[in-house]
Amino acid sequence: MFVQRRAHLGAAAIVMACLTAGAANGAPARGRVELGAAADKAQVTIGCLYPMTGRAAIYGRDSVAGIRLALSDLAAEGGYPRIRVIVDDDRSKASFAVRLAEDYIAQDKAKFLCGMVSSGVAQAVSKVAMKHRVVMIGTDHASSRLTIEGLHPYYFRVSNDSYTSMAAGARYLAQIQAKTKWKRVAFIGPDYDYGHVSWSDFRSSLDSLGVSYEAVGTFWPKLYEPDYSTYIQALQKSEPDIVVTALWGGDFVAFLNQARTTDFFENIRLANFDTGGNYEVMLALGNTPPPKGLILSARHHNNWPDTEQNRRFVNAFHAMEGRYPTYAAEGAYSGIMAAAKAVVKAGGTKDPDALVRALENLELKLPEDPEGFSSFIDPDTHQIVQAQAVGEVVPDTSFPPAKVMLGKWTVFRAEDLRPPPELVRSRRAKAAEAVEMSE
Amino acid sequence: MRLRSSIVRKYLLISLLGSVAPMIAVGALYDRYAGALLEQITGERLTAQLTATASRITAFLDVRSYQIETLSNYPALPVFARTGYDPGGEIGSLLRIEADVPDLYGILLFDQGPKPIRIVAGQAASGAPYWSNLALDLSGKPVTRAGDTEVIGPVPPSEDQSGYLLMRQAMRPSPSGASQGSIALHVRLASITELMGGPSLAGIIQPVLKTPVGFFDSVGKPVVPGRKLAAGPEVLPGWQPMLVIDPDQLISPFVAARQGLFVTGALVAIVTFVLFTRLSGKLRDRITPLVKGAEAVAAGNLDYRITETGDDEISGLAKTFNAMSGRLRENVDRTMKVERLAALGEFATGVAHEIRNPLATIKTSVQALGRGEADSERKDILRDVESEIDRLARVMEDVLAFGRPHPPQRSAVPVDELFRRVFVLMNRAAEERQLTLMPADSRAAVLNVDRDQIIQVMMNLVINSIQACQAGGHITLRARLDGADSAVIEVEDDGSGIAPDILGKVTDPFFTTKSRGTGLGLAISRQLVELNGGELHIAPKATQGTLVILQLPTWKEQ
Repeated sequence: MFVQRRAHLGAAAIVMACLTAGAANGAPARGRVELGAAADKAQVTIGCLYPMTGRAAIYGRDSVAGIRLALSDLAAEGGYPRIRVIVDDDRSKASFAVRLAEDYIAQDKAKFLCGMVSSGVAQAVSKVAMKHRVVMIGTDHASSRLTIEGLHPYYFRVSNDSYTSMAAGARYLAQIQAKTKWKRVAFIGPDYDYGHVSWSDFRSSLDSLGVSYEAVGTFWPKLYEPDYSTYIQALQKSEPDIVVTALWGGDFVAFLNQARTTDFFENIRLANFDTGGNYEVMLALGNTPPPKGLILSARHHNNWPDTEQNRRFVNAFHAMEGRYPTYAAEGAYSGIMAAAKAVVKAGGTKDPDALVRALENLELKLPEDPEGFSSFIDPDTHQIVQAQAVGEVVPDTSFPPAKVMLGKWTVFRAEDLRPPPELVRSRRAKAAEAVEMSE
Repeated sequence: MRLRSSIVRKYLLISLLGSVAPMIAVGALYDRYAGALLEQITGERLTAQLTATASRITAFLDVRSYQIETLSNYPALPVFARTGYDPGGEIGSLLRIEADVPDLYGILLFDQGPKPIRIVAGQAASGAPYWSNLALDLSGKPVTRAGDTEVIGPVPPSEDQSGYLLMRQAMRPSPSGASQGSIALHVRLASITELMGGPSLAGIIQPVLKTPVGFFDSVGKPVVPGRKLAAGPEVLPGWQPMLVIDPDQLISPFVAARQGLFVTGALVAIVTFVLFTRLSGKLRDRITPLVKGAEAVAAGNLDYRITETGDDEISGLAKTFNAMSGRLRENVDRTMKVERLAALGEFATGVAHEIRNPLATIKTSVQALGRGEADSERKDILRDVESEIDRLARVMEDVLAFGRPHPPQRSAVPVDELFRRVFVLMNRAAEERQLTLMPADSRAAVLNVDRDQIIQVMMNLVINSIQACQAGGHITLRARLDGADSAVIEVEDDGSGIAPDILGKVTDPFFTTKSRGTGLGLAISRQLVELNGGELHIAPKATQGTLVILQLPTWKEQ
């Protein structure tokens, strides 16, 4: 049993002093980063997978910084085991990630797997976790299929999933329908599991709210699509009032930049409830947001909630990295905090089922929690339950070099964004009928 | 004035032609260039575009064919498919890496049946058959053969699944030659259709992919193409990139512009017609009085005058017409007067000749009778007869002078000398009537006239003034130069004056208001002045009296 001791986050110098990064097991693999305790000193090893190259590399870099902040906070707080975190580049490929995850477990003796930005990668790694009975803590992928149809005992997620975001988005659109009279909605998402599940979750929430709408088109560009012009033309041709998108990261920025060169925004509002409010999008918007505005949210915001903990997290990140974080940082931070607390609660890492029990119902006070609320993990879905704020783009230079940030917030309570138990049962029942044939 | 034959009608027709003809010409040009544009767009460039698109799709299919060919020939694959035997995870890793591209939903392994027995999720995997209860059902799907590869599908997108196709090859057969099942790539249909690119030329040209199950647009959605299609080379049997040309969309702006042009033309024609109709009506109203005036003048009514309104050309024409009528009246009156006077003069001369000689005989006889008459009363009667004969002789002299005036003998006549002579001759008569005759100083003027004739004129005028004035009246003679060539002489009195209604007639021969006048004094005076190249005017005076103005030529040294 480890002794818990509370302490405040120290200055940046202390933060850096607490962090170590180095190689383990001889020469490091290319892209591999080790943080926290050295291999021979560590009591707990966590193997994380993030894209460190390509269009999604910013998520990997910010996640590493988030992990450092978590390790710093844990060290400052005291009472936690010595944690070693290994981060490697999954290159957004399931094949890479599965191989790396297998190596984490077999060679690095990792007791936790964490991270993963792409839901497709996470699906594959989740199966590895299940096979080896190793707890996997998702920090950045969002397909609700992982916590509903595809859930197994060892899978947990500590960032908002597609269901949570789309539930918030559906409620937001329902609220503005009386004012804006929108009716026609089109959807564009990446052609992989996350995109399709997001659309399904969005419709499910709209239907459950009794919103009257007409789905005028669904469009599925591939992940990391370089040119969205064909899709933008097709979207405009379907004449929607609102386009909801699940494009994320560089894909969303590319889409946004291309759409802004057309008359897309003259008659269409664009909503991205899961990732669109990310800081990198604020940067990409410059100081000329689309005329009719965007409806955006993300899994963490630098300027919401306006709490001491969130300000401290964002400022510590800035002090360490010299820039402001994307939401990936807080996801990774949450994952390490959850793992550490679970180890303490379970009294060690020997019994993975004890870790599972410790994570179920685990409460975490995270930077994205508004005053008076703490995130907690739903024991039925292993999905963290959190509030979500949806906002519009407003001029704001508080987080340079961004010229705009989200504002005019509409906040949705965490309890309202959970999938109803009957929906979870229904989806799982349907999935149970499927013949498991996957390799 | 009838519109049919009016000049307004001609202007109307020209204006209509001028406004409508260019529009018809522009409309024709629109048609011509629209047709040429369509021809240019649907010409060679489309063929090149389609060929390039077909090349891209073929290259994509070649890569996938090579991939499936590599996998299907992998030696340990049939055993893995059948039993799952994979020592060291070698085949699992191979399949995962091969599946890990955005263009693949996954890799499927089949035995002899239609449903997959093993599946490997690819990067784009979603829904069936990876994470859904909906199994992949290939029954009824079209199969296209391309060498050793079967292309199954495409399967159009549904609510829960994107469109896809399978590229399947038989796995390496067993040593005995028995079939060991097959392996298929689960390919994104949109990865093929995206290669066609988006609509071009503002949506006029839409690329579509023709497949055995129908047409798909660039984002992989089923479409029903328009009527005009340009076909590219086949990439597989039954698979063909095509371009849908929407001529309506291309032509519609031209058609709309042409229709707009024609509507504008029709409106211009209508407005022109209405304007010209109204204009012609107004013009008719203005010209009709001119025509009536001309007809009236032609009929001899020289006193007809047109009402002048406005300040435009027609008003100017009316003024000119009225001026012309007035001058015509004056000329006719003058000619008639001259002819009348000539006839009168000839008649008077003839009569005077016939009367003057007998009158001399009668006078001699009466004198002879008077000399022999003792009775004083009868002697007085004879003297009266003789006196009347003398008066009659003077009348005859006047008639002769009027009817046969002497040509003027011009010489330099200083006006002051003229005035002096008249004063000497007439002052006595004026004084007898207690009148004042005042010749003004006028040394400057020298007239070029017949001295005696002008003295006679002056005396006639002074005599008229003496007769018109009451005792104490004044008669003034004035002279002044009037320009370089003439001088003006005025004879003014403050007598009884001339009534305005007879002012124009007092110079007519035989017109007189005196009981014993002959009515020839002023007529002769005017005649003599005109013979000397001058003019005589009698001007009405605002106050009492008469002003006679003579305008006479001045003497110029040769």
